[in-house]
Amino acid sequence: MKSLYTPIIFLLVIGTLPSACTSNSSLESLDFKQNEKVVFLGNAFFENTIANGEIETTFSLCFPKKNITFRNIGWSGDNVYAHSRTRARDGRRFGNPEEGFGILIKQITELKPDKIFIAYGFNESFDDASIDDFGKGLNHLLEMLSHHCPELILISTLPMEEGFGIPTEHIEVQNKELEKYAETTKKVAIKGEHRFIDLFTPFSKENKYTTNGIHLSSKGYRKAGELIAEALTLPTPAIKIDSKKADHIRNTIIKKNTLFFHRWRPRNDAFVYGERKDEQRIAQEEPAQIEPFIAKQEAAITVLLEDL
Amino acid sequence: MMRNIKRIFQLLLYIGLLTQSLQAQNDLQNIPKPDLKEEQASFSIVDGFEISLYAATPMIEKPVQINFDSDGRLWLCGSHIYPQLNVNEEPSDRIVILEDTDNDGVADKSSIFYDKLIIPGGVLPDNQGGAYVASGDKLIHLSDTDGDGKADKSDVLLTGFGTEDTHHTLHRLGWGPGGKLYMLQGYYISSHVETAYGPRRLNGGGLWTYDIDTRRLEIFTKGHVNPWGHSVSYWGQSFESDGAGTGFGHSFPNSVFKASPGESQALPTLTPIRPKASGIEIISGKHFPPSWKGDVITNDFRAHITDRYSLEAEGSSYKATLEPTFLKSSHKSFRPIDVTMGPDGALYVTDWYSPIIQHGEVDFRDERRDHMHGRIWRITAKGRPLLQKPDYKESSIPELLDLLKADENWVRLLAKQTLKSREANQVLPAIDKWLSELDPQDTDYDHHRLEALWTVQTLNLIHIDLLKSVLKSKTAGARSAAVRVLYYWNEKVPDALDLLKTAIQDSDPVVRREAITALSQFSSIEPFNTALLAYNPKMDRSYSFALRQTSRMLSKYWLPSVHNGDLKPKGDDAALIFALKTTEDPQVTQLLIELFKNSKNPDTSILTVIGQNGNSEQLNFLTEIASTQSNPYTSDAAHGLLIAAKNRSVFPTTNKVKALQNLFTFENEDIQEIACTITGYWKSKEFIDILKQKLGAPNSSYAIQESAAQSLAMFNTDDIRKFFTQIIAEDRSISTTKLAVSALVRVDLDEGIETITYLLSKELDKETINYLIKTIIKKEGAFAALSSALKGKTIATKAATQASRFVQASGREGAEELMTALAKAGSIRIASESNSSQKTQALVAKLNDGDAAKGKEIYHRPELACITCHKLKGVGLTDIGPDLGSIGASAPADYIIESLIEPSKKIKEGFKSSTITTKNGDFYAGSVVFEDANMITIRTSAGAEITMQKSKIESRETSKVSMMPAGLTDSLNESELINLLKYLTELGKSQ
Repeated sequence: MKSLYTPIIFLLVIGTLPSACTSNSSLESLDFKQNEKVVFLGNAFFENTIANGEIETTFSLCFPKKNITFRNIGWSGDNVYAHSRTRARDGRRFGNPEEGFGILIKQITELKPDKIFIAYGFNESFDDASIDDFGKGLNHLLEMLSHHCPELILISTLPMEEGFGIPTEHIEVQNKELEKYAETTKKVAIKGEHRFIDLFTPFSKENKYTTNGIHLSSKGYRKAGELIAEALTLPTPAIKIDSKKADHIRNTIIKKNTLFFHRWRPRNDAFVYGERKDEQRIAQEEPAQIEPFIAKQEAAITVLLEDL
Repeated sequence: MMRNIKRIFQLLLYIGLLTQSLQAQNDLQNIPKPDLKEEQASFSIVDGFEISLYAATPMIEKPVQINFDSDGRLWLCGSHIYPQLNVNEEPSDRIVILEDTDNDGVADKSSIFYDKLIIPGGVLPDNQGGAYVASGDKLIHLSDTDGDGKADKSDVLLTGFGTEDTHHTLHRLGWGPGGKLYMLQGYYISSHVETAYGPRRLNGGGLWTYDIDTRRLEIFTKGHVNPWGHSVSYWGQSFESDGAGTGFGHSFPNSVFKASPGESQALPTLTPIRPKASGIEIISGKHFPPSWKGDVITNDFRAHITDRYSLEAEGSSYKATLEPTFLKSSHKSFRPIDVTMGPDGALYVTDWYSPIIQHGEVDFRDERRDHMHGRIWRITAKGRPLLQKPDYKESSIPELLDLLKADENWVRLLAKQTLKSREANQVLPAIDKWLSELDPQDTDYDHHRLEALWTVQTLNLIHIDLLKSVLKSKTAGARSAAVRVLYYWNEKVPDALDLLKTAIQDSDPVVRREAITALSQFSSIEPFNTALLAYNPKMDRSYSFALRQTSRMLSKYWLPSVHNGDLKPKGDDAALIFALKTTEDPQVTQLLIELFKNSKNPDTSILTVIGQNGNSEQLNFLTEIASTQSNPYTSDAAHGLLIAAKNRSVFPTTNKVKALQNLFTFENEDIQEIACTITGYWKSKEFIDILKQKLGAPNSSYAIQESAAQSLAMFNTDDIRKFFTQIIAEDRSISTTKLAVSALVRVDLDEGIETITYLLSKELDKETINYLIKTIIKKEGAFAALSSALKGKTIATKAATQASRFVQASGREGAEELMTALAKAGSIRIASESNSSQKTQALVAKLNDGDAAKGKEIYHRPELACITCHKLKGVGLTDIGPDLGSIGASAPADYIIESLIEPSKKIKEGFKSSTITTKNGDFYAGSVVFEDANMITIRTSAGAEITMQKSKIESRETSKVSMMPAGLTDSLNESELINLLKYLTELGKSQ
């Protein structure tokens, strides 16, 4: 099954993370076909970009005529077992942690993405479990995802930043852990013949990209977008990322992202999918009614990009 | 599935079970006009106080939480969007700042600080022009960088709070005495918050603490269904109110309350009559009469009441006593929620103002929801002077320190918050100077020093000498609060464990409980040994719960020492045995067996623990006891064996026959019953004849007969099948017959169905009919089999009607067909739908003529069985159905009508029925009261709580059908029904 989707293997390694087998990696730029769908999957690293649209804007400006659709399904606190997605959709009040994994795979099956960008490891780096467990978990996730998507791209963990009241010694200890998680992510990527993007190394150099020591600011995301584009040797953006036109596109993207967020993670979720779903009729009908509004924003983004 | 329900509903009409069709929401047309004067006139307040309006719409919209800042301005978050954002609607809920510029007790200025929120649950001013806001999945900080009074910067501090249910989402922000930000979430929420210290996950309700400076987020308390308010007492103890009808409880770190997923034990609340407690405030300050100091004020939004409770120390916790009603209103839109004391010493109550509360019962988009109005009411004590607000910002550090002596809890809090904004290197020396100048003879001397300690904590500094000195205070309250500080500072204090060793032997139980909890924050075996010093056999609930939690949290440090023999428990070491039992660790079981063996006066609860956790070999210890004649522990051992067999399907390997022989010699019925039951699980053929005898013997008790029948069915041999058929054919007592049918169904469905068809043609009572149907519910395909068996047969009409009701309540597949078959075989008359509809309209029109007193008499009639399942204000037999104590105040009359006539249409949150079929064929229907990854407990409609391993469950369904049988009110004539409705609609409404 997998071989059908991955006739050509590209392996991309940038930065200075020690690599097990960089010798057989080859640097090829990531290409997009017309009308592809991209999914951003992971923890708050992706969830937080919903509100600033940064990485997506970079991609859109690099491929303005390809009509790429982006779906951001990052979730705070999430791990390779999709723990945060556990929502007890089978009618129980709270599901088992494993249940999230099934929900994620179901969602991926429905979204049918052509590419998935994956960012995990931050939350796992605090676990009592060994780092090998993270590797196994990530591998398991990638195997499942590869049945539904031909191209999986892994993004490393990021280091924590000083200057937010978090004790320095804690940051030092934790950054060593986070670096190990970045390395493991890379090893798993190499083994599974997936692309890997190292953000750990470049973000270790400067201390000015987060809002709270652990999560990127808009500026940080813009930097991340640049680094990702560079790593994937994407075409030069059609216009400058800080231009007025780009702002307009970004705002439309944010609007679309926000609508999609309300579509798949509506408030009152318990009444829509969960334990209380028999109590309200309208609660269940409304999220689907958001669809046309998402489509409208989607069309607006396409027009804005085509006009560039 | 929806379609299926609809068809069952139509069928109900057809067979005449439904006497009325539904006229949804008829009664609520009578919505009061939002007239302020009318609402104000509706209040009655306890003598010596008066209530006046502070602010109302349009100055504010639907208020959720209020908090005063150090300038005396009232910050308010509100939501016109509640309960759900419209499709494609822009966020527009607001943070509003109210000011009373001329100090006349009425707000005269209102400004919008921010208006891009979706249902904010809490606001807390930072006293520097900005505020912290609970905004759905996020905790944000809003600031005004250009000083125009509007927020222009929004920073996300935390993200990942669950949003599954908007009235449970992150809410109620407030400062604790040591400067942490406290906030709440309710049931139905799963939070996965990323922090610099790792993800914090919380399923269900809980109280969070967040340290603004270090960005550390921790769980303080787990549980409570709808924790709504949190208030801290003079000595720093926490009290949380629960809007789901458990009142309020006393919480401390590691405490757990009802309904926390995955937790097997919980603490009770302090309030026996269980109000729907929303906001909570503890009275302090000079404006209220001195006798009110320390009393708890909490709003019962359902009953339109603000209550007052007095608190007194009781062991390591408190006792709450309800005082005469503080404030009540007859206005059905008055919904008191948040409550807080203000800078003038008055009490401020937010009024959500809506005839409709919550959002489960009434549609999100119901037009009668009020999305606009809201009020803030102000309560003052007559003839007592109001207070002057201190000028915090203009005060010097020594002046701010002197404010720590204030009577008003909020003044001390704001003084500490203001000190936090000053230079720490100036504050610390000033504190030492201030301390040295305090008069040791001052009655509040200990409290002043405690406030200094809390100030240090608020500034995120450490002052070990001060901590040590407060730990030695004369007043127990100061000592207990200092131990709480030690809980937070823990390993940063070099001789922390020595200090706790002293505290754990304190004369005051609150101090000892705090010390037990503080020890949970260390990571070695020593703190555990210290905690055990606090053990005593007569520990109260909070105290023993604290010790349980600490033992469990430290088990990774001490349990290995037990396993490798370094720590050798002795049989009389009750403290260590207590700790071992808390671990719920299977490996510990063997150790407990040894302890039991070697003790002269063993702890019999160990035998239960063996039943809960032991393997086959360990269970042999129980059979050894059970097979010894005149052993004083036989009954406990038998019980342990029953738990192991029934809950876990784990059986002993030796002495089984000997044990059963011995158990059957006991005259004690409980032991007999257990013996019958375990015979079946163990498949001990030697005792088949005894079981037959027990089932057949006319003098056997029903319980024994039942366990004998169920056990016999477990053997499933031809011989036993014949025995059952024979018993039924012999036409013995109905109880014997039905037990035999039930057992027969388990071994041979076809033969069982045939027997049931035969029995339904007879005159049977309701219970027997229900029982017979229940026996087949658990069998796959049984409804279809019975449907075809009924073809061409004639059964009693009464039996058909009753059976139909039970079949409908089961909600199982094939119910519809079976109901049709029953109707046909029972020649049930077809009712006219249109007539029913007219009848309902007539009923609604006549509701005002109803007589509530007569309705009360009807409510209590045994045949209606209302009292069998529902309590009234906590008084009653069981909790099977919701407490109806204030149903009239919380639910519109039409909701009550619907619930009476068609119970399944609206099932109250927490009262849904689940049906469970186990792998060995048992069937249970009831509401799930506890569930974690391995275990589940359901409360059956008979009121029993059954706990089982999830691995034993074959299938499980959440029923869309209420546990309340339809048609309970069929026996009433129209005027009786109206009277009953009238009575119910009056319940909980104030006069």
